[in-house]
Amino acid sequence: MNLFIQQVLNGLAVGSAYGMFAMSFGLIFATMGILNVAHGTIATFGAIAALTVVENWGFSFFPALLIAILTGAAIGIVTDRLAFQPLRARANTLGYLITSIGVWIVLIALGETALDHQIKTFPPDLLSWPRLVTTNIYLAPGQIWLMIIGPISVVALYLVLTRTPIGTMIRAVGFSDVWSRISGVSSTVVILSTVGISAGLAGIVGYLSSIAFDNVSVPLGEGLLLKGFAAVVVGGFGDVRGAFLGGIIIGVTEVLGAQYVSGDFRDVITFGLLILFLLFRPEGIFGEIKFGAAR
Amino acid sequence: MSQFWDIYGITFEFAFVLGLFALSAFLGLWSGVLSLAPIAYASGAAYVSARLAYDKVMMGEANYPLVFHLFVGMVVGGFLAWITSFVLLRLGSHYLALATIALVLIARVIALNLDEYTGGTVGIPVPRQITTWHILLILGVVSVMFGVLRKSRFGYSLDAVREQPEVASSLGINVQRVRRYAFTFAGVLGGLAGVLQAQLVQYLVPETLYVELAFISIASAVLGGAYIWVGPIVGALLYTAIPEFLEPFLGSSKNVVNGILLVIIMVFLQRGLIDPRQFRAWSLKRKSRQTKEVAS
Repeated sequence: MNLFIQQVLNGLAVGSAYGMFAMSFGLIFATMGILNVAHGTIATFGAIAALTVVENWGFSFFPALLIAILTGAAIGIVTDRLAFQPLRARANTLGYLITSIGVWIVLIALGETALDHQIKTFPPDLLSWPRLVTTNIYLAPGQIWLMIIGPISVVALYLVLTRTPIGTMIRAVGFSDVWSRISGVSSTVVILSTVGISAGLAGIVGYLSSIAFDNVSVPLGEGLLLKGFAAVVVGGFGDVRGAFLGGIIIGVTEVLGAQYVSGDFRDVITFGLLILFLLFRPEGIFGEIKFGAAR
Repeated sequence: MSQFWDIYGITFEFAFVLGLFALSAFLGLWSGVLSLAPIAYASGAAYVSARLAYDKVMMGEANYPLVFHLFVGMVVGGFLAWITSFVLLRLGSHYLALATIALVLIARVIALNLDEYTGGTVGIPVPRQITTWHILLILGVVSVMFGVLRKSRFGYSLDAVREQPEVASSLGINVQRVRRYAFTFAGVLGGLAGVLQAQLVQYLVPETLYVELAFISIASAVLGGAYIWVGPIVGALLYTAIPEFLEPFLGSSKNVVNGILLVIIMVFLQRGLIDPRQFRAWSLKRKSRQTKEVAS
């Protein structure tokens, strides 16, 4: 039983990471139609930047978290200005996909150079609390922070999107770019804030999961991206709650499947789930409408 | 010349096969569908063909002829595409794109877990039967088919479906059916390209035909121009050639330049390098100049 609880907790931690990532990825996709392949690498850069300041200037956990957010947001905004903004006049998902592939190639190359093609880790004394140790259950600080910040970020993002003017504007653009412009929504403000929020969140995910999994590397972000795709298909990208829940479902089934079915079968359950959702609930758990219509 | 071919021959072979992948991505785009699924079908087809060859060789017999493998690849790819099209084509464009990526991920997991047949992470060796000329011939035949298709009734209905599905449907075109045909044909082409790619690499692991290749093939198609079949082929050649060309000057930072070039081309030539509309505009301009000269 203890093992079961332990694995559920592990799954929740992993799922929080997937969920936060799926949320940030889905937000950009739903609002601007950008299927941003480079999003996982932005998460990697959040981790790289945090690692740099921790190693070189001895930053502690929270200042480094702030650096990760700022780096993510900065890369996101620069990317948007250089690679996506020029295509906006005739916005099409395809063009965005291609430029994001270009950005992805560039960022991967830069990330590999920055990390010297190695897998690095944060110093163990960066984060020593809160640690949960009982006789049978062990949770590392990184995992606990994922489980704390994950739900906070969903609630925060959901409230921002539904209760604030900027959130209403973001949803309005997601519903119809042209109509929202007619009603006086500034597209620049919306785009910059969406990208900032989303890429900043990616930075957080990269940082926290690189602590939790003891792994700062380019494949970390790519793994998040692939699982993020899966989470978005399960949860639907049109609603942040759905995307997060999708991530949790993916994370928990992944860990429990590896424990109780077979380590090799790890991804089968996850992706079997994916097939089921594609067949029976292609628009995700909550569907799309919540995010589309400004209610 | 022969020395040039010794060095760059293998690059060209990969470029031509990438051209086939790009054409299969283009076929999806031609029917107004952004689909990365052909890579998943390619993976399935390549595994079936590789397994058949492997068993035959293990038994100490001669491998099946190349034509047989190509045929198997096309049948498997087409069949998988046809079956999955019923699920995938119901989806709206955004979900469809995501779902096809998911399909590529699923294909890898299936390949990993059917390790009795696929060798799992270890992979499976693939005996090479093709030569450069085979690949060129296949690419040539496929190109001719696309050329014929472009001026056919089906080609025009694809154009209509891409531009305005609603209007196309009001003109009596069955949008879903046209899309399903295009999707299936893209699967056939993907299966063919998958078998070729596996034979080029001579070793098949679940990551041989995976997300990266899917993205690169769609990038080649759009880079070259996704409005006529020449585009994807040109795109694939450029996409392979540019990094090779940059290698001596830039070394490992060539990827950075490569990515930046992709962005720049997309930003400035949103319809890709080869754009039939542009050619039409040029020829119109020339004609009007000629008429002016005649008039004066």
